[in-house]
Parts: sequence; C-alpha cells; structure tokens
Amino acid sequence: MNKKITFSNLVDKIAEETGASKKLIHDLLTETVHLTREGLNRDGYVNLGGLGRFRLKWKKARSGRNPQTGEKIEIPGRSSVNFKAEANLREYINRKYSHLQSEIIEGEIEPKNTPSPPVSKTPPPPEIQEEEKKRFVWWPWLALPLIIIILAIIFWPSPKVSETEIKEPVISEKVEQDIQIPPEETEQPETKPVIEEIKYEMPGGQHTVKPGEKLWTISLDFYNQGDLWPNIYRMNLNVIRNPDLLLIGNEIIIPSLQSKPGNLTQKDIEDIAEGFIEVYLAYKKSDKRKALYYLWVAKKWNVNEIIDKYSDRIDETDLKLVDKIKGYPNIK
Amino acid sequence: MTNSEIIKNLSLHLGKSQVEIKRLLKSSTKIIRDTLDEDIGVTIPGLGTFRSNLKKKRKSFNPYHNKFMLLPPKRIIRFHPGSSIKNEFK
Repeated sequence: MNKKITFSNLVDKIAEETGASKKLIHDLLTETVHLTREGLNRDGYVNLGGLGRFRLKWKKARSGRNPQTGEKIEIPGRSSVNFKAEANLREYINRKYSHLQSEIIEGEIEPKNTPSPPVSKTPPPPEIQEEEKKRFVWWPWLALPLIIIILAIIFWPSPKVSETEIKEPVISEKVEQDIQIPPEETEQPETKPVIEEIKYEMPGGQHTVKPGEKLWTISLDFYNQGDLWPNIYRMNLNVIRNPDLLLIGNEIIIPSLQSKPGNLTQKDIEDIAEGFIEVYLAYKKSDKRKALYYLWVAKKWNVNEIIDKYSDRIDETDLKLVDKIKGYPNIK
Repeated sequence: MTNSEIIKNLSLHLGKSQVEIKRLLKSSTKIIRDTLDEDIGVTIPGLGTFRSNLKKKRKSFNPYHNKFMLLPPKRIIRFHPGSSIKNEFK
C-alpha cells in the first residue's frame, strides 16, 4: 500500500514499452506537468486523456482552534487542486468488484419514519396525516386548539339547556299550559349544530370568467385555496375543454363545499377526488407527467369507490406506476 | 485546458508529430494505470502523487428507497497535490 514507484523507474518503464528514448519520455512528462499548471492557471481545469480531470476548487474560510493552546483561529479560504479519475480508469481498477451490486438491507428503517402510522390502517383527516408525516413534533400543538374548539362546540349550548331545565319545574308548578313551551325550546339545541355546519360551508354559485383569471385564482377566491380547482373543473366539463385554457365570459358553476378546506368531510373528499381524476383524464393524452401527478393526488385521498367508478377509463399501468410513488402531495 | 490542446502544445514543444505524442501519452497513461492497479503509488514531480485506495463494503442510508443499503467494496484513485503545486494555487 505504501509502495511508490519513483519517477526515474516510471520513465524507464514507459521508454521500454514505447521504444522511445528516456530523454524524450522525461521531457514529455515534465512538459505535461508544465502544461497542466498553465491550464489550471488559465482555465481552472485540465483534462488529461486516459487519466482524469484536474480542477481548482475553492475552499471556504472557516474558524478553527489551535490544538495546543485552544485559541480560536480564522483559517482563510484557499483553492486546492482536485482530481477526478476518468470513468474508464475507475472501471478498469474496479473490474474485480464489477459483479457486486448494492443490496437493500431488509428490516432496518430510518428511525425518523418508524413512529408515523401506516397509511392504510387508519384514515384520519388528511391534514393531520400530513402533519404527522412531515413534522411529527408539531401535531399536538395543532390538535390542542382543535380539541378546545370541539369542547367549546359541545359545551356551548348546554348552559342554555340547563337554564331551561331549571325554568321548567318553576313554570310547571305555576301554570300547566306553559309545559308546552319547553319542548319547543329543547328543539333549539338540535337545530343549532345545523346552523354551525352552514357557517363552515364554502358557498358556491355562478361565476363569469374575467380577463386574467385562471381556475386556480377562481378556486382561491371561492375556497381560499387554489389547489381545489379540479373540483370546479369537474362541474364544468362541457364548458372547459382544456383545464389550462379559460375563455373570457365563460359561465362557470362553482360547487359548494360542506366544510372548510383543511377539515373536509368524506363527501367533499370524494367530490374533489373525482375532480382530480377528471383532470387526469384531460391531461392523459397531452401531458403524461401532469396526468400521473393528478392521478397520484386522487389516489392519496383514499377513495377507492371513486377509482372503481372510473376504472374503465383509467389505465392500469398508470395506477401501478402511481402506487410506487411515495410521499404526500402539498394539498390539505 | 482540453486534451487536444495539450497534445498540440506538446508536439510544438518537443518537435514531434501529434500522432506520435498521442501514442506516447496513451502508453504512459496505460503504465500509470497498471501500476495503480498493483496498489503502487505514482509520484510525478511538480504535480503530486496518485494512489489507489480500497474502500471496504459498508452500510449506507439510501434516501430514495428509505432503507439502508449494503454497498460493495470498491477502489478509488486519490490524488495528493505536491507541495509546489499547493503553494502555487494558494
């Protein structure tokens, strides 16, 4: 390993091999060294055929410590000569190991991903699932306000109910006719959750396309989220031929959502997934890459019924391809 | 600087034809390659030392498959620049 060939020995060997004089070979090698220095000075790189490529690399300034005194020193930046062997040379040197290939070690997964639950087992709302995957530490902070809101919804109407309950016995003692009123009052808490649902609903409606508008911007206006534009596209298949092209003055129907994006109900998810599949069908012939992306997003919603519904129009090979892609889309 | 430029300049400096220079360079790189293959370092004055090192098989994380992989052993060629070239490009 520590063996080295001396320069004169190398010159002898080459002279023997080529039949040229030793002086010529010596001159040749020293001259190439001169030329590589010149080339490095001029261009910053030199290609030597059969050997490789020399390149000047800049090493940044960094702070270090004097190992003896522990003093802090600022090490200035410098350039150094970097060498990369040619592919032929690397292959030749490695011909002994060329039959070996890297193998996957089963059963050893990166510790980061182990705590995240598998996708298929539990289908929680997609937002929480995403948060768990991406940054596991933050989800309790997100869940806390949600729990508070849920608790608030549960306990808000209850004091009113309890008030009526307290009033009931008082009224019933005085007049028997007033007993008819409490059942009317008890109906009110039942109707209240319905009102709250309407609050969350994203209202739809009619819209005429103005200059400069895209499906994305319209979706942003109506749903506060541009990603959900396939839901609009789904309802206007006969008006919009190409999802990339909107004509000014087009009358568009905007479907309403049952809940806010970020906390979608199952029906909304199915609708939106249908929209994504429609976009996939539109892009299928023109842009395969885009089409596969939308199909992948549609699959990520975990709506197998919708995919079964469209099964005769979706290519099986595309579905298999999409299954292999890991990760999550950026849509909540 | 490209390889052809070097060959052109060498033929000018040494007074030999470009074909001859090509032949000489080819055989000299071949001998350098063979000596490196025998685990012997090659020192060229004014430039530096070439050495071939063996990298053992090792475990490494593959971010694409999200799994650990066993990488086979391989040999790599290391170049240590000489002191004169180091000082020139400080």
